[in-house]
Amino acid sequence: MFGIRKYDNKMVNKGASIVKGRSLWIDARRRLFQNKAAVTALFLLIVISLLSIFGPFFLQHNFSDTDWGSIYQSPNLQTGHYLGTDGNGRDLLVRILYGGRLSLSIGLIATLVSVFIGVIYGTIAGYFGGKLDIFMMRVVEILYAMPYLIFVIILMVVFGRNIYFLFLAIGAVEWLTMARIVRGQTISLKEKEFIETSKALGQSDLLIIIKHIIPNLAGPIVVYITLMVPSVIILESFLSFLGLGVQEPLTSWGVLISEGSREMEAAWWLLIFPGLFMVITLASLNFIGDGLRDAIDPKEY
Amino acid sequence: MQLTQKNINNSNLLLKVNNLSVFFNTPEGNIQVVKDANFSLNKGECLGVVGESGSGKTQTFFSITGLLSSNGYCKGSAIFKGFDLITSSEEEKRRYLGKSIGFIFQDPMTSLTPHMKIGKQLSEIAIFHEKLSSKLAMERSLEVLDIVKMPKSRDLINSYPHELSGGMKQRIMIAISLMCRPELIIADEPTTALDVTTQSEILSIFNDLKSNMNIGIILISHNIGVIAETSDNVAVMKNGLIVENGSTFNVLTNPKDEYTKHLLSCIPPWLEK
Repeated sequence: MFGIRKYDNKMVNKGASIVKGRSLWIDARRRLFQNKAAVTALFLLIVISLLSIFGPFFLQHNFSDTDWGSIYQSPNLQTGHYLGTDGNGRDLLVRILYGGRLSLSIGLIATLVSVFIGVIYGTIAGYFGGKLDIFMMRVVEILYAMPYLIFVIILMVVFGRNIYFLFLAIGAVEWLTMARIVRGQTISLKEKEFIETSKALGQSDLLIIIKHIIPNLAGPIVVYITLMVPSVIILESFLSFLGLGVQEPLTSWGVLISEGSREMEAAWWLLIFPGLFMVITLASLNFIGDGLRDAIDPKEY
Repeated sequence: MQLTQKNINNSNLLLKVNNLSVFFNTPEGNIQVVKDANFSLNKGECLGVVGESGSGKTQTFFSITGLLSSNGYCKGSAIFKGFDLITSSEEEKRRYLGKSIGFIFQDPMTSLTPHMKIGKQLSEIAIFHEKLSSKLAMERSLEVLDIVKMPKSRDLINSYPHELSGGMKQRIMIAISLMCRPELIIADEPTTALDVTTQSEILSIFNDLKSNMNIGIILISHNIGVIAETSDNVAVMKNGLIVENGSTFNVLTNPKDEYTKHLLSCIPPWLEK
């Protein structure tokens, strides 16, 4: 009645044939490239980045050269001021491209800083849980409660208007949200069986966090990065608008828009063109973020 | 190693559990889910643990491997080769878990890390425990995949978990537990999530491990048929108590406890032919 049955080995060997492993990331990339809006946005973003990086080398004007002979020139192809000049006779196109360098790198670096802090903080709080988690999250909430503008202003006043502190200040403000998102994801991940399996197989907590938790967080983190870069660019523009950002003759899109808004009745191009560059960049980043979210987690459709 | 030999009179003895109790602190008070469990396991033998849901079978072995949730604690002793798994620290336990003790979970679909290739997940264990080079570990993975009868193992180590079926994943899980040449494998309902034909394949692998590699296996299940096919001894659990314990043949043909009788009477009569 309960005898041990013998099984044919042929029956056991009936696995499906596998040719080559296709990771979830490759699948996600394929889905991303099927999304027309995301591909267009990606293309625009690459064009704007390349223009910002290499454009100034090919233009005849320098971003800080003043030319009293051509103040407030409207866009003109003959003079080489393709997008016109500002009140000091500086070429607007070069200034926009230089501003793009700064705005994009602030967006990228401040985001990476905040991701770095946020991921470490969030995984530790979420993974170990208990009292440590409660303490760490209350700290985040206290920092949340501080008005960030005042926080940044204090930082700027104490350390001086240094561009590197601007990077740091924005990163220090933005990591809070990242830490919360990562913590939440970690808590749901650590209940999954593959984490329990790793524990049962005797792996140390640090290895589990590095090898099994953080790579599985990559999806939400990547999506959040694309949405965080625009918010950082806007934050920088806002600080520059208030006069807390970068200093002359350096410029950023925020500074250009702030200057342009003062003179828009006389010289509309000073507001329109920097604004256009910024809007295209931010919209592109948002479209890429949407595309990535759909690509990485297709259940969300 | 010498110390362990001294402590064990019976050199075949692999695991001896004495008066193991598991408790949980809950808002409603302290709940005891396992009451004074006693059993032992020899090398190359299979102990089947059956019982209904919530009878404490899983918690018994979670307590041995240190997987109890944070509000749980346990008393008693579980001597594995002269080493008490209950009183030892996490650090000490880690030297045994995954190395000499393998653990297989109920649901193979979620037990593998989704972003890692199979070969990497297999070799990771050997790299961690035995400090093997990744090349040697990969070779060992191929060997182990042969043991669990996975075809085309060279292709397989480059695939991802989501590309495999449930039965294949469960065999990968068995392979992972075999990576460091364990002496004891604890399988927590390894076939519950699988269909019947896959189940029989998995059970035949367990039988091979037992007889060919002299591995002691603890098989937790609520399916008495599964237990009957693989186990030498069986322990029947109900409400945290081991109500009956003995050789599989004796317990199943001549049950003493009311609950065991009831359990056996639940098998559809046409299966008994």
